[in-house]
Amino acid sequence: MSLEAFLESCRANGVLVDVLRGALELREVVERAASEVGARLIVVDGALAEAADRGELFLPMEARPLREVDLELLKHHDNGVLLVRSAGAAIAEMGAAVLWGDARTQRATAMTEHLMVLIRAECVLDVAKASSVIRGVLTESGGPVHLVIGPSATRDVEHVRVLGAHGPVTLRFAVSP
Amino acid sequence: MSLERRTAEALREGARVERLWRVFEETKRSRDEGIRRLSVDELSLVRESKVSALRRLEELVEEVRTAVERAGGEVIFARGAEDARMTVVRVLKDAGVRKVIKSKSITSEEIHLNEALLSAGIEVVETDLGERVVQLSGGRPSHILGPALHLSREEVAAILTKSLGEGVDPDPGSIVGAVRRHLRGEMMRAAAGITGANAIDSETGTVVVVTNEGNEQFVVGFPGLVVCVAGVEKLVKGLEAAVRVARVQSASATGRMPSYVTLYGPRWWGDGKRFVLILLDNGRTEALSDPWLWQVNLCVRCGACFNVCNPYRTVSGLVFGKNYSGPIGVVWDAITSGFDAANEYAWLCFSCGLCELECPVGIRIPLLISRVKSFSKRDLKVSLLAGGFELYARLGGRLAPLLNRAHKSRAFRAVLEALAGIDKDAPLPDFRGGTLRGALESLNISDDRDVGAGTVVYFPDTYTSFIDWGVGVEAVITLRSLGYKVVLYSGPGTHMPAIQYGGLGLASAVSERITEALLPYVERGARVVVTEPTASYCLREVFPAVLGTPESKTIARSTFHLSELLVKDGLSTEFGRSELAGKLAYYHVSCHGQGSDLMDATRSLLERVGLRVVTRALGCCGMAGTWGMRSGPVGRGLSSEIGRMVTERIRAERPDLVVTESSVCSLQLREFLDVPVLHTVNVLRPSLNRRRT
Ligand code: SF4
Ligand code: SF4
Repeated sequence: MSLEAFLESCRANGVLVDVLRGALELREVVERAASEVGARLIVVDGALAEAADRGELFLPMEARPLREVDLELLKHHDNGVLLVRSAGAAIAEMGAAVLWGDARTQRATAMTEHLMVLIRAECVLDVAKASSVIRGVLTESGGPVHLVIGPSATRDVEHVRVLGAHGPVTLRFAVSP
Repeated sequence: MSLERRTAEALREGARVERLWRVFEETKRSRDEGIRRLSVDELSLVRESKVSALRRLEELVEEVRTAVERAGGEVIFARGAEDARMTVVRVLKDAGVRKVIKSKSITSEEIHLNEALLSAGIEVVETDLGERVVQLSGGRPSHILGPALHLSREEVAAILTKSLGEGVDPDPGSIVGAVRRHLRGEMMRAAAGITGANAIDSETGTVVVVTNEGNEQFVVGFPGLVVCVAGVEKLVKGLEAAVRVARVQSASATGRMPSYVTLYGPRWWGDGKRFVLILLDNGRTEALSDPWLWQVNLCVRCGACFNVCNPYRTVSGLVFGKNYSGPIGVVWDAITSGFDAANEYAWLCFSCGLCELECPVGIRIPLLISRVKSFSKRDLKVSLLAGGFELYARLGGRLAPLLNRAHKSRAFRAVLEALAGIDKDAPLPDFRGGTLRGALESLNISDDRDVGAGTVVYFPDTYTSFIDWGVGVEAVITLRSLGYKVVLYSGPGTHMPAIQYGGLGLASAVSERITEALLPYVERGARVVVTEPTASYCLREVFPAVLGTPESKTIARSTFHLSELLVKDGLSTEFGRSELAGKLAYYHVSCHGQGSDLMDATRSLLERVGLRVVTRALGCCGMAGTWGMRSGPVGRGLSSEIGRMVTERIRAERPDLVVTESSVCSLQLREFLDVPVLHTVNVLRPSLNRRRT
């Protein structure tokens, strides 16, 4: 299933996607995303922090690895935290980023006010292939695995859509080659 | 409180009725757009995976048990509600849990889990926003997906202000912020979480849960013990099948993908959390042996059937519901809480058939509800209506002047109301006198004899045969003018009221007789033509489902509505410009005509004769055959309110006339509108270009 199909699904889901020309462009895109949502703190997950340490990609200077951040900081939405995560896979037909990892990272993903997910183009799969990858994660490493498709939202009050019901108010994907 | 009283009270809440109609109209619109993005193949894949899982459910239960236990989790099979409640209580108590967080689970409503936990001294915190509001209000959910949809923003704000001890503004943003702040701490501290499931993969024991709010991530992610309580019908084989169920469920619910799909199971990343899967039977496997009710186990709980159910929209799930709510709720309540429980509200369903058209897994919801009704104690008046409609119509054919006068007499109407339960203010049709056969004979139109490929058997049904044969005469003249040989059907009518009022047995007997009467013609190449959508619905949908015989399916395939036949046979060009050309016609598609080719065919013919045509998916006008003639809030009361809502929307289109194929819809529409209401054939026939020589 093509990257085009994934982008099409994201458009249908109303999720903003930045398609990067190279991994080096990530810093710029994260900075732009942070400034657009008025984030005061950029936090990155372990995989991204390690990749940056290895020099495979560049992150904004002020970005802090999640391991150094107290989760209490993410408890309240008005602290303006943008969490940047890397997806293990993505599902083209659903426009979903597939996120797995340790409990602390998954909890931070649930709590953060703003979420950005970096997806490598080669990890965009169809439902069948993605299911088999997820099955491997769940049986070998363990869950939970979250398919993240949109910002946290509710229509429980008079059917009016309000974002940030429990989790992120904004969601943005960045697709890298 | 009786259903009549509850309905009467709900009908008095005008603002709520308006709000719910708006909500469900919006949801239907976005759902219609979204569901188009799913291919038919995808929908069939989901249905097939569910059907195949149900066929080998025992095997799947064993498989999931092995998978979960091997990975360190537990599986407990609960036969009934009590069993399930006690199991959850025991698991939590053994773990020393005093407070538990829960994501939305209608299955836990089914077994009254919260009450059991509270009596065992365990505090329960619902984490879905609507569910939490309902919990704080002390009420119960009115919708499987939007538990608090029956509440206004002011009511929600008042509930929260009282419960949270802080002033909450009646604005959705402030309400959501207040609930988020209130729940965050609770969710981060909880020792145990309880979830439901949208699907469970039997091979890995993975639970798949769809949410938009993201509360599931907290319920699964923070506590050290996670208990999933799910119906055994949620089992499917393979993770891909489970993910597909989630995808179809969300697309069919709102037309959009959900914000989150959470997958978890017995194995946890890193830490040693505990997972207990409680598989609930509670009537599900017993239902598998029922010829109709087994289908409820296919339900993915998308709520699409709720959107189009006008009685539900009008009285809300607080009246149209018990533990479950809405159309399929009747069946869920029947199999999980018993027929008496379901029949406390099943009688709000007037068998319009629209919910079935929405169901992504093809559940024949109206027939299942009819099956549920067949287990209720029959009210004599309802039985009279179910069986007596055709008899009364035949009598009216003979005693037209007398009965027409009687219909205008208050005294007679009072007697009719007392004896037969027919509301004294409901619109009743005027009998034309005589029968359709008699009228055709007096016009020297007799049946054509040599039956073959160009022959049609005209099936007029009860109304056109005995009450008002005008449409029948026009239809036969139109058909003959266009060169068809026409045979007038003789035999029983479809007896739709019997189906509506739970008489599936009578429906089956009648459908056998009708099939027997039509088959000899169809076998010689004739087609069956109808002018009442209810007749085509019965011949094409209900009878083959009830009988399941090849003969009934043959009749179904050979049955056409008049407009469909004309368009299919390429005869549109035989119609010229009508005297009504240029006028704006609102085309009211009766419920039983929806989901077929009738709508497009009629619309194209009306446009062909020069009308400007507008139509909207408004659902049932509330008349629903004889339903709107019944006395009481559940009958005429509800029917009038629905009629008012529907005709308000028709009026907004400013039509010069209304066109519909249904005689009984016409009665209702004339009651509320002051423009002419015509049958399609009455518009088309005068525009015919040629006459048969
Ligand atoms: S058949 Fe009509 S009235 Fe009955 S439940 Fe379905 S939509 Fe509602
Ligand atoms: S019966 Fe069909 S439409 Fe209704 S909730 Fe179930 S799956 Fe959805």
